Amino acid sequence: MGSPEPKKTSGVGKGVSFVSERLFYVLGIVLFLLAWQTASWMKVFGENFSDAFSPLAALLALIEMGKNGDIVHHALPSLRRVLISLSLAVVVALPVGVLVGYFKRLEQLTYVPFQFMRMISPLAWMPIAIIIFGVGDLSVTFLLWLVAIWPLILNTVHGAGRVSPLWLNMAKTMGAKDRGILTKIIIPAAIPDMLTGLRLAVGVSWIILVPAEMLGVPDGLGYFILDTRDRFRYDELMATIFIIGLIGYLLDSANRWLISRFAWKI
Amino acid sequence: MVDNKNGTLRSSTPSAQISLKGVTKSFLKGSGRVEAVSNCTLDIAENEFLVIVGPTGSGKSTLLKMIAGFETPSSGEILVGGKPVMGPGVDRGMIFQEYALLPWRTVLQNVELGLEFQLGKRTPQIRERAMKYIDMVGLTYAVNKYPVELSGGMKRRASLAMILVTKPRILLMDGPFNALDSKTKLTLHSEITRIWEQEHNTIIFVTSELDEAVKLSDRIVVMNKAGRISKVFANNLPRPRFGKAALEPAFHHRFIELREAVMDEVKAGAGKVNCAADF
Repeated sequence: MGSPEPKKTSGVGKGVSFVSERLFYVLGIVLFLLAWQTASWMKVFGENFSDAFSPLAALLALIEMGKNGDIVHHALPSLRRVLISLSLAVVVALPVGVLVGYFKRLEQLTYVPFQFMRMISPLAWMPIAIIIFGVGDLSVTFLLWLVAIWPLILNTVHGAGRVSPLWLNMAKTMGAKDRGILTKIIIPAAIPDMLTGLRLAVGVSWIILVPAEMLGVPDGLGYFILDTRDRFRYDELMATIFIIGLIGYLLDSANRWLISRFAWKI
Repeated sequence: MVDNKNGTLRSSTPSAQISLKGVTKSFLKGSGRVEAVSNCTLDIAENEFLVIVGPTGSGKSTLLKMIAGFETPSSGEILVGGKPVMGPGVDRGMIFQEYALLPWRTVLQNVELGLEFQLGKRTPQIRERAMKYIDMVGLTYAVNKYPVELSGGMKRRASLAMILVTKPRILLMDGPFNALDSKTKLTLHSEITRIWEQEHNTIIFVTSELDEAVKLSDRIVVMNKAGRISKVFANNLPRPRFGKAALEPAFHHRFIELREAVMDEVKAGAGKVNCAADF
């Protein structure tokens, strides 16, 4: 108590730093586009197609795809698949993670299988998924579920395991029952780690989505990559890549917002 | 002053709220067993303010944890209100050496926690009662702050309110004011005394500071290195013991006298007393 507050920077200095902070983000975007355009000028993408790979061509294709509905037609199924598989992964992973994190024996029991399973690319399961679920949406959703579940489980385990025994003892002296301990101590304690797990899960789901959608579904951004290739529309290919990056970035931003909003700090 | 050799006191009286009967706690260490608490027998009366002192490793905290029900005695018995302790209970509120505040809850929400547990849901009455206790520990100005924003003294106050609001008949305090600056400590000493006089609870307070022990207690129990109760001092200093009253020479003299007597006992027990079990 009573320690002197740090000196506040002057209003002017604050304004300048605000601008310069933003400035460098914008500069990063400009440099990125410049590098892309330069690569196209230098024919990095080959003698015949480099023009189609330029940011300008991609922009024009993007506008065209926006007009003819290709973006919505392919981005929506992709988002739907990712969100459904993520929801299913959350529903399974959170209870499992809390239980495994809370009971030490359960953690010992599951440690090796979980660590083993999480290192297997879900695409390796593809043939098995197709045998079980057939070619189509269900297989893709299953593969995405399989990739999302491990970061969610393992982070929740970590979070639930971090519950201080002090809190549990205190709760017991306050007359808490198991249910109260679970809902008021263990789950809130694990929330920051659950959110970190969610962020990782969204990231890897979105990455695995593209190859997973190349496995025989009739729509989605992954499918559309192959489609533009087959039609030699490399401008549309670049536009699709841009959209994949953009949506991924927005999903991750949403997660960062969730973390800043709901994760308590020590 | 009442002296009691080896912690044996007069047999249990009906008013005694807590009875320790030959309580021993031993741990496996190396090839032998070490007794952290050894054959402690003591009756603690209702509304008594009992302070336990002793050198580090004398089993004070272990004894307190057994009364709280977090640990079970290896032998002997602990009775609270005539019934043996079977685990933690709402009748015994424990204030820990470390802060037990939940970092994702504000001060107010932390203080409401115990009532939420007991009633199963949040109600306006809960908020009202929590505010009353937050006011009691002088934290009204910080109700909406998170633990990470609080100073050490504020965290202590919040922890205190958090336990007090559940109205435990017995307050177990394990070095609750350790590592606080002396001004905050002084304030909290008069606060806890005032609360104790107001709420009529029984307090068992573990500390290694003798000034604190003499200022707060009705009786001072000295434990030694062997985990035994070596002596029990009755503290008949008149209350209030703060402010003007403490400045009177006669009071001051008696204060020092008792502190020195306790100090001698603690020093005597800090040496190699019955440490055979250790080696």
